[in-house]
Amino acid sequence: MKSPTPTPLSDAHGLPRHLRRPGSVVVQWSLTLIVVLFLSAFIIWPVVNVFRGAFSKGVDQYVKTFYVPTPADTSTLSRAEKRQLAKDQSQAERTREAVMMTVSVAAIVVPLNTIFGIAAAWAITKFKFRGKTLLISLIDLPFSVSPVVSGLIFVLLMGRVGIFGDWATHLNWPWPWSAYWRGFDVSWFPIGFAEWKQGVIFTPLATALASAFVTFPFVARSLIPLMASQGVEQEQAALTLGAKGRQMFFRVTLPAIKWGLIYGVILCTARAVGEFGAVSVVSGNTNANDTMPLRIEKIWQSYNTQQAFSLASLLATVSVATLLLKIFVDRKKAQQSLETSPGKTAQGAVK
Amino acid sequence: MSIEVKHITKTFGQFTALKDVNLRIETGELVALLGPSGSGKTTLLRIIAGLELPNPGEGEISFFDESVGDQHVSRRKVGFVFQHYALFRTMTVFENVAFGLRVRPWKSRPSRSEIRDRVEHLLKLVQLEGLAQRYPQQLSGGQRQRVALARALAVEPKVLLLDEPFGALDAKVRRELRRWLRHLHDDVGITSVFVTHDQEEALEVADRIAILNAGKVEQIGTPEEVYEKPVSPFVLQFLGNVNLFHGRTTKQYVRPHDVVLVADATGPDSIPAEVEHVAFSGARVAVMLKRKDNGTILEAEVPRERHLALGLHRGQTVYVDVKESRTFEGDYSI
Repeated sequence: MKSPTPTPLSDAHGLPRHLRRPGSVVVQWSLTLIVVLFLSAFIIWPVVNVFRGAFSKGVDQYVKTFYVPTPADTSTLSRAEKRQLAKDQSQAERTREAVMMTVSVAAIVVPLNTIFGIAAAWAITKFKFRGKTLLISLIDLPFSVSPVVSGLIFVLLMGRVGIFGDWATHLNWPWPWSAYWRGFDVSWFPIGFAEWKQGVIFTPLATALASAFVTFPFVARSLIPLMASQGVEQEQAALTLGAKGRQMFFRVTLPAIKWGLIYGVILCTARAVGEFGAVSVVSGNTNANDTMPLRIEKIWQSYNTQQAFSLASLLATVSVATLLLKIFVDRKKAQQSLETSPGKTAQGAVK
Repeated sequence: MSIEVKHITKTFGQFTALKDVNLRIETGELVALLGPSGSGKTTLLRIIAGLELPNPGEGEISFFDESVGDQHVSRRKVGFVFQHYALFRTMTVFENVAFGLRVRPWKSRPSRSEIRDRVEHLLKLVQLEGLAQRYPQQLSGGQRQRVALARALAVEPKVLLLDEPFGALDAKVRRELRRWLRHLHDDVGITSVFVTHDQEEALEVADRIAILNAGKVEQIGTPEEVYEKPVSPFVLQFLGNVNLFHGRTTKQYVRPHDVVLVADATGPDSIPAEVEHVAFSGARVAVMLKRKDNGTILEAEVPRERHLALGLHRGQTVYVDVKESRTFEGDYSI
C-alpha cells in the first residue's frame, strides 16, 4: 500500500510555516529598499559624481592636474601663455607634493599605530591591572573628540606659547627623505641627513603627529574584542611547550589575530589618508605642508572644480579599494573569531 | 620523576585559593586532585606547572628533589593539557604536535625528519594517524583532547599535568578516554597529575587521590583508602552519597549500600520508613525512603535480589538496619 504524502512541515525556505509571519516579506523588502535608496543618495551617487567631475574636461585635463608637460617648442608661445604654463606646472607640482606628503604621513603613522595597537590590545586583553577601563576610554578618545580639537591640542601644547612651546619651536629634526649613507666613519650611526627642519607646529612633523593621534584607536579597537575572545590559553600552552616570548608572539599570537590586525590597518590607513580637520589646524595653511585633502580644498577655493575632483578621485579610489578589501577581510576575520570559540566541536567537518 | 610541593599558599586579592598545601607525588604515579569547584585544585596544578606563582617567600616546589620554584614555565619541562585543550587553531594537527620541538634552540632542535618521525609516532600513540593535516576545528572533542596530549608529550616532559582532561566531553567518550588514559600512563610511565571534580573518574583512573577542600588537602591516599577510611565528613560526603543519622552525641554517616532493608523489625534499632521512590538501574536498585519517626529522607542501595524478595514499591513500609556506619572525632551532633 502506498503511504499518503505527508503534509510538509516547512516550505522551501526551510522555516516552519508558523515562524514565517505574514507580511515579513513586505517588511524585509521595504527595509532593504530604504537602505538602498539611502546609500545611493549619500554614497554611490556622490562617488560617481566625483569621477564624473574629474573627467568632465576629458582625460587630458585629468592628467594635467598632476602633470603638465612642457611643449617641445616653447618659442611659439606668447608671454601670457608662458606665464600660464609655468603657473600650471607649479600647481601640478604642488599637487604631486601633496600626494607624496599624504603617502609619507601614512607610511610613518600606520606602522607606528600598528605597533601601538598591538601593544595596547595585548596589555588590555592579556593582563589584569587597575585602571584598565580608563585606558580603554582613553584609547577611544580620538573617536569622541572633534578632529579640529585634536589638532588644537597639539597647537596649544607645542605652539609658541604652549607648554612645550619653547622646546618644540627649537626642536631640530631630520627630514627623512634627505637620508643618505655616510658609513661608520663619522659616527656609530651610519645614516646621515642632508636636511634638518626646525620646530613642530606648522611643519610636516605636526601633520604626522596629528594624523597619528586621530588614527590610533583603529588597530587597538579591532584587536581588543578578537584577542579578548581568544583568551590567554594558547599563549600559555606555547610557554609550557618551551617557547620563548618572541616565538610565542610570532608563531601563536600573530597568526591568530592576523585578519583582525589587517582590518585595523586598513581602517587606520584610510583615515590617515583622508584626515582633514586635525591636519588643517596644525599645517598652518602652508603650501609645503599640504596633504591631499588640504590640497583639494585649496584647489576648490580657487574655483578649479575639475582639478579638485581629479585629486578627490584619487582619495575616492582609495576609499573604494578600502571598502572592497574590508569586505574581504571582514569575512576572514569572522571566520577567525568563529574558529576561536572554545570547546566547540565541528562534527563531520571535512577539509 | 617525583613532584614535591611544600607549604604552598596562594591568595588572589582577598581570596585564599591555597592554604599551606603539602603534597608529594612519587615517580611514575598517576595522581588525581579531586575537589569541588573553588577548592583550589586547578590553582595547585597551575602552580606546579609555573603558570601561576605561589605567594612569594613561602613554600617550595621541586621535581625530583630539584627546586623548580624559580624556573619560568617554559623551562620547567612540564606537559600541560588545558581544559579546553588550547590547540593552536592556525596550525594543523601535525604542526601542533611538532610545535614544542620546533621552538627549541637551534642546538637541541631535532632535524626535520626526526621531528616528522617523532610526531608520527605520537599520533600513532594517541590513535590519530591520518588526521595529521586536519585543523583542530575539524576534529571532535575527544580527538582534540588526544592531540593536546600528544602535543604535551612531544617535548618529553618530566611531568604531565592535566586540567579537567575529560570535563568538556560527553559521558560515553569520557569513559572511553579515561580508560585509555590509564593504559597510556601505564605504557609511558610518566609522573602525572590530573584535576577533576568527578569522584568516579578519580576513583577509577588514579593510583592515588588528593582530596582538596577550601584550599587545603583533606586527605591523600589510594582510592580504597580514601573511600574506605575517609578522615573527615567532607571526604566521606564528597566520594559518594551518604546518609546522616543523628545519634545522642555523635553524627553517624552511612553509605547507601550499608543500609539494609528488611520486611520486619529485627530489633529495637530498626527504623521504620516509607518507600518514596524506587530507581532500577541494572544490578543495583536505588531506593529513596522517608523515615517514619522524624521524616528525614534516606537513600539505600540494595541488590536486585533483595528488591525482588521485598517487592519494593512506592508507599510500602519497610525497616531500615544499618550494616556499617562511621563517626568522626570532634564532629558532634547538637
